[in-house]
Amino acid sequence: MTLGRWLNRSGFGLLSPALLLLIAVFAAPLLVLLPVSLHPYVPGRGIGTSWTFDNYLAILGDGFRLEIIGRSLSLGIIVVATTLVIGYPLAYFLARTGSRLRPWLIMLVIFPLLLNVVVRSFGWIVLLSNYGLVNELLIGVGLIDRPLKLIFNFTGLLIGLTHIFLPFMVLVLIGTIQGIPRDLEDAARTMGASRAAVFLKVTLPLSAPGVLSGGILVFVLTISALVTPRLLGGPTYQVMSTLIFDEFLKILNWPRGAAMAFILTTIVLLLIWVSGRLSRRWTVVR
Amino acid sequence: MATLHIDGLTKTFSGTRAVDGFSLDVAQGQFVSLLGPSGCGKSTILRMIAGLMEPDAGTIRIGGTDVTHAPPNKRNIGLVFQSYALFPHMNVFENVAFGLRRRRMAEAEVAARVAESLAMVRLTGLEQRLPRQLSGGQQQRVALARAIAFRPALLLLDEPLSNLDAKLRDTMRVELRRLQQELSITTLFVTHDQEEALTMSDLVCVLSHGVLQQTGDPRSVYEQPQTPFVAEFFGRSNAFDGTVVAADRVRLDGGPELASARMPAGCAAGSPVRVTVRHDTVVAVPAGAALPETPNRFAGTLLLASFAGSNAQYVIRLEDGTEITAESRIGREAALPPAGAPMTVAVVPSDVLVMVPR
Repeated sequence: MTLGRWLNRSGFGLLSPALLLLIAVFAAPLLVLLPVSLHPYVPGRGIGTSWTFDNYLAILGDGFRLEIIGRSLSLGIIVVATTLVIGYPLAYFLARTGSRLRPWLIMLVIFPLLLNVVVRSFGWIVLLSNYGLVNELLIGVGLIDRPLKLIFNFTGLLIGLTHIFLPFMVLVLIGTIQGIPRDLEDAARTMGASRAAVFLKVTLPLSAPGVLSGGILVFVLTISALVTPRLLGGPTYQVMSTLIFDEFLKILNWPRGAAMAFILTTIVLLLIWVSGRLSRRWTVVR
Repeated sequence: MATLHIDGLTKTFSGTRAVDGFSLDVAQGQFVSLLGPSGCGKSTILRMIAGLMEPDAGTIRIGGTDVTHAPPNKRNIGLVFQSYALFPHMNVFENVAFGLRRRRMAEAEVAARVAESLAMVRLTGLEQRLPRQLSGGQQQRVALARAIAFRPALLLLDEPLSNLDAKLRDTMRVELRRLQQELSITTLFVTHDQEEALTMSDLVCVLSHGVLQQTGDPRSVYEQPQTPFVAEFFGRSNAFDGTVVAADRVRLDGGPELASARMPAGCAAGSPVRVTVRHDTVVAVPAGAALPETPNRFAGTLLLASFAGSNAQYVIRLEDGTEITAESRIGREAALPPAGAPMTVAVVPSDVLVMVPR
């Protein structure tokens, strides 16, 4: 079979522009980086020539770095959970409403994406810092005596990242929920299901593929986000992406930065593989 | 199993009356059809009875209990959707068990009831299949089994046969009626198909633009229509505007005078009326041939003769220009007369339906 015919038959022809781009700007640089991560770092001289696994072993044996990996992953999971809890009702409303305002409401969801992420992150600094709007308000009302620590820690990152990635979750969920015929929910109601039972037995299981893809999207965006963690975490509260950034551009320890980047990439690929299998099981069930 | 009483049901959508003061009394075990063209409000009525839509006015009572404002899950109603609305993520067993499990029934009894319901619709053995692995007819039966499994007080059917092909539709029609009689379940059937309504129902309600036109047994709504809409809805009809001439005579606008034995009561001479003559009650023969004894006889010319299976259809222009369509059985050997042939047309007075327009 010639290459042309194979491209026609398999449908890979349609994929090829995207595939070529992905190879050129993602896979190729990654492969270039692979040998870097396997060379030692020689202080003052840069990248050594001998081969070694020390970079990986050092990261995986270092409590500080392991903690940051754990922090990044748990941040990813919790941001997914909060965007899901906040986003699902919103997406459900937007998918089901017959209001004439619907296009505008959806615009409102997308609107934050039109603002630069730096601006949005600075906005949160104004709101969340010790003498920011939120703390001043809470002290003014008399709910607290001393300012809560809402920034340069996990809480700050959680609030900022949840806000920034919420639109992605909502948009994915709207599409999925719209695809569930309303008759199914009505049928469940007439058969004696309470609203809660309709949600748990019908709506939620049928929107599972959307929950899964929205979850992956937000998780990947969260653990690879750089600007928001840098601004809301300050110089000392690190996550994986800020750590990699510092290794490359501040400490100039490229081998260790590269090894760190590969660990992050491996985690992401593993996650996508697992969820791909999960969603295949779900689609077989449907 | 229960009675159904609806009184003054009204629903308005952005200024338009979708349902206007609809009332209906259904006895236990009756099969009632809501019949009308699309947009006549029949599905809206069904949704209000099911509790999926809130009426603006009126009351709904099932088995004597006022359920007008009860949520759908408290009404004990079985509803079969036009789309079937089977749960795609559940197999046949789970679909049918859904209503039973919501009633917190023991699993052993759930299994027994599911088996019983599936046996009734003759789907035993397909319990583990998913809806998408079933044919349209099978999906339809699952939807039906699911709606009757928990023995609802009332069975509502929303055009359940319209997605099936013609042959299957005929089979399902008979089966549905048999099942309904076996269970003696009070049933409301929404349809736009007059044949379905006439063949299956104890009672037919004809609706137009949200207004109930006539309620009666199939024979009476077909043979004694009380409004022009009902007269013209069933079968194929010639319809004319006209004026009352005498107690038993009408004149068609720009046409002949007709004797009628079906005049509305208390109609003064000169009042406007609507005159309907069904195609199959018009007798058309080549000029000179034998005709039934009737004062309504007219000469005309044949414009068009067409073959329609067991019947022939003739379009005839009378001498004063009025056009009338006749439909009659044709003999095996008889050839259709050619266009332009002189014809005679006759209608007996009892087939001339005269009604006051609403």
